[in-house]
Amino acid sequence: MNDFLAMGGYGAYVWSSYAVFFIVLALEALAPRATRRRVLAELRGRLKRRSARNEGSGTP
Amino acid sequence: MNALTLWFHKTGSPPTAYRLAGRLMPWCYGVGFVLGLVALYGGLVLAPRDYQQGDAYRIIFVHVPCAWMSLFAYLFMAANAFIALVWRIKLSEVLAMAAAPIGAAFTFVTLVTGSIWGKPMWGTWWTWDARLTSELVLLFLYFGVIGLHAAIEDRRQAARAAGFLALIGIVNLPIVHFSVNWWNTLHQGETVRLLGPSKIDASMIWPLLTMALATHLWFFGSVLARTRIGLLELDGGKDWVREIALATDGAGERA
Amino acid sequence: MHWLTTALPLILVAPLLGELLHLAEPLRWLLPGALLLATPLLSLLGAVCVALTVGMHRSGMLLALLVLPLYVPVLIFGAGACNAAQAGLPFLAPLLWLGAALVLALVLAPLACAAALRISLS
Repeated sequence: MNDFLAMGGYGAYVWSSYAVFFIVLALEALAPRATRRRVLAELRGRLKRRSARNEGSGTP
Repeated sequence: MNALTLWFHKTGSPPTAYRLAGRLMPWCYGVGFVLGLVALYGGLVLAPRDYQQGDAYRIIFVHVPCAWMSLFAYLFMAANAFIALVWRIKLSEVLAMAAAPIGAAFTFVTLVTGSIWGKPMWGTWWTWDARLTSELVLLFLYFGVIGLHAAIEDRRQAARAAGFLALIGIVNLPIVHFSVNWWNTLHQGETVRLLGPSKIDASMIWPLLTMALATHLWFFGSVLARTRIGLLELDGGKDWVREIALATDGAGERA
Repeated sequence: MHWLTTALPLILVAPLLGELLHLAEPLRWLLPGALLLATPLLSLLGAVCVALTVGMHRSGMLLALLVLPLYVPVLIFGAGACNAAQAGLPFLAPLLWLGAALVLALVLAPLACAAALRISLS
């Protein structure tokens, strides 16, 4: 196991590379979730404002 | 209208595309993830040590697939940008813009893992050789596309302008790919070939190709996820989007 | 027009500056020559990118970002030609690349600008 982690002396390089790979790709895959929530929240806000305006205006 | 055309038009319609993407996305991510683990096992555990580079060469199993993806993502983006500009297909606009951040992420990982690999092997974190420089240029092209897309208010116009920029920048792709042939570079020449035998051992190539497949699937998973969001933004005023927006509210998803 | 006011003075002054800095023999004419090929190319590429950002307020930063990756290859070939000459190596190839890019840009850049303007102002 220690040999595996040491990677023939290059452990720091190999594992930091793999870490970058995992972390960046994981972040990249998770980012859309936050965006999606924001977009839907904005849409809901717009819809509520529009329906409130329509109710408020009533007769011309 | 025959069945194929009908299918084509239907798939291109935002609500259908949204639903289809939603169904495919988890599969892409899931299978990609599993294949990635298989590839990692093959590369980190099964593959033997390199006679020259020792265990450090194992960085290849993340560096090279990411490099391939950085180019593939750009091609995907440019192809969709072309379709969007010529035939004005909304879905292509969204697909093109969805690919940009993913491509940028892969390019970034390529550059960083390459740099980490270069330190023990070449003795330096960076050198201005043809391949490294052109890959860095690729990263800046991605940033430019993302930046331009974000800077324009109207989503369709933004996608068209950024797509146009992506098409202009496509000249960089042959430069990246052929840089090791055209110049005297520090970076290694071609070892994996599409047609003909590759100069790499079988025990090393299968994890490499498996990881390449895994990253492709991951890419498509992300593209589908971002495309869904792009479609929501594009069709904000339409009924199908309204239903989704209100439905998620009812499901208790916090804003 | 842009080129006449920004690049041409530089090209004319370059040999004199070269004399001042004791630039090696082939570079005396090579540097202005490479600049002559590269600077119009830069202007044309810049024009296309400006056409993309024409409607925006404060597009300066974005413009720099857009133009940078397009300028880098031009810089590489231009500086590459000069470096090669200084090292005594053949320098024709990068110059030919610059020439080819310039010819392409002269033909295509106006079309690209028009398309970009149509997109930006639509």
